[in-house]
Amino acid sequence: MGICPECGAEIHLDYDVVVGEIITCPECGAELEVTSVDPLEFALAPEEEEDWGE
Amino acid sequence: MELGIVLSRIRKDEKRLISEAERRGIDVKTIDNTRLVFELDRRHMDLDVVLERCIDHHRAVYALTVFDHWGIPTVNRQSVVETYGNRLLTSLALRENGVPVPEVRVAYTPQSALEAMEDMGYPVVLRPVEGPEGQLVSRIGDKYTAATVLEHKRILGAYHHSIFFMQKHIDMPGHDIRAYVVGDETVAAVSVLTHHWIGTITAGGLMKQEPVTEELNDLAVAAVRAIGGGIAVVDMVRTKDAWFVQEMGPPSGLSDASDATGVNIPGKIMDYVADAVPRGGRDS
Amino acid sequence: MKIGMLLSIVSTEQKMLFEAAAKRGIVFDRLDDRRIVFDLENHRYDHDVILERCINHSRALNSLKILNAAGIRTVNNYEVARVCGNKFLTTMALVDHGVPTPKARVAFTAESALEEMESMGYPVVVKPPIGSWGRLIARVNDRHAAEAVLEHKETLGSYQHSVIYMQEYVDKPGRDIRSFVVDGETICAVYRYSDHWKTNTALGGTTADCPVEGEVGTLSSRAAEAVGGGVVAVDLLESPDGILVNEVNYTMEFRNSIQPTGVDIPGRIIDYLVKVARS
Repeated sequence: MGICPECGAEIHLDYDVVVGEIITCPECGAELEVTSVDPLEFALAPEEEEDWGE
Repeated sequence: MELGIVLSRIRKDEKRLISEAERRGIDVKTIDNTRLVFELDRRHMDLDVVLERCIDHHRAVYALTVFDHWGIPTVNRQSVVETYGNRLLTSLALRENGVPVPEVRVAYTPQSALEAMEDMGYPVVLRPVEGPEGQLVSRIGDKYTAATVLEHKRILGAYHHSIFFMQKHIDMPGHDIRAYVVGDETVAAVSVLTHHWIGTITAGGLMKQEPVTEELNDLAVAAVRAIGGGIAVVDMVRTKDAWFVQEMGPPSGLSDASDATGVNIPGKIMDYVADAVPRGGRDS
Repeated sequence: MKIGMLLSIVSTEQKMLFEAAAKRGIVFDRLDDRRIVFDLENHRYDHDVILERCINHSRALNSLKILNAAGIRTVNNYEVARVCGNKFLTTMALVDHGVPTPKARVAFTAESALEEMESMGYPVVVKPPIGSWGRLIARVNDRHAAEAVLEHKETLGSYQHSVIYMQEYVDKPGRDIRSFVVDGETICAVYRYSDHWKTNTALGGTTADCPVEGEVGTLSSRAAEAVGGGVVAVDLLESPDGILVNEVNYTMEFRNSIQPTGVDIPGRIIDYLVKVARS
């Protein structure tokens, strides 16, 4: 279980994640980056920049 | 022989270049880049050689790329302009060819840039990877200044301002020298007298003739060769026991440097341009 | 064998690449571009190859230049990223190699661009030379639209927007084709359907398998060769006059293309990495 840094919701994931992966908070919809797997920790995901893309 | 000069404005320097061309019997066609449209699938200009005098670096690189694909010789060559217009490319090219340059680190986020500066030790000179000389160049003396400048870049800057190019500061005020290199020769050199640490001509510095010693000539020519040859200015700094090349750039400030040194730099450039045309004229 | 991956966040593609590598007994050394500091004096990279998967083009480009200058092999290399990352350079490379591509023009001011669009005839597609995911790509249908787009670029854009790249509009049949080329071979392709004229899967839309026999495969391989090879995704348009290569992507997304084609795209990328590492 981890805590959403935006809304404080408890987030339980029923699938494997890796550090650096982006998930969406089921409560507030914020995009979160997984910063640690054990314990589960999140940070707000980076915002899209002008030169992002394939 | 027909020479195309691609430019943004006809300034003092361009006027002198055009009159030097005319004295040599070269037909000049000025190409105003504000009115220029390139069709990328066919060659629609016929010239023997092109001299690039754009103010905007990106227009210069795009225009030279097209002329290059059309097989028209250009001064400078596209890869040379792309290199001296970008401090990372310049630093790598100089380093690879053994030209002494200040220590450099590159990072992409304010946090990693701050760590890099702490590790290098202050003062650090933070420069945009691209942009005119002197613009947004910051001398950072401590971590508070570092954090402030990085925050301004992050919040106010376009994306290319988040490539943090950090250079070790070489503290030798009053010892900034600018060499004008045309081909294999340093044709003139000036020292830039200024009280401001940036030490550039644009920052209001005064030019004074500097003797072209063998040592100065060798370093400046080596620097220009390292980026692919042609015509360029080389900004150098001399410390007690060594020379460093700080930056390179397009040949600007020609009139002022000619007046300060008595050397006809535009004339030397025009001789070089005339030599750039393959013998036998176009399409040979 | 030491294989690195340069990245920021872990997207679905990155996760798939980790898994494909793990199946082959390879663990990527992850290089987070947000933490990295390149010291030009002492580079400390000893990888046999580094796969570039940055989300920022500017970080990718600068990193690849530094790594290649230090003698580190990368997929893709700096030249491929430089050409693919800039639509103008891509067009020049395709034209030079005789690969059919939509007609394109470049201008440097709003006035000269407007004049050119008037003479090309509408619609015209205006694109930032650098940029992706369909961002800021505008289909300009008339003079008023042209004036609006150009004024916004001039007033709001950074200096990169002072280069105006204009492309003829290609009337395509509600879909386009994306193919995947690894080491010169077109390994698979998909049709991308969308109601929007930008048929980019990042903007939604569905995909279906597209056979690579014949022109799709040949043109894709030639387009990849024109930009310098490596691992690329080629966007093709079915115009009334035949297939045209629109763009080439150097850090491609592929999550929606594995299932319809049945081709293990991440696996093929890892196999290619191993080949480069051993060469």
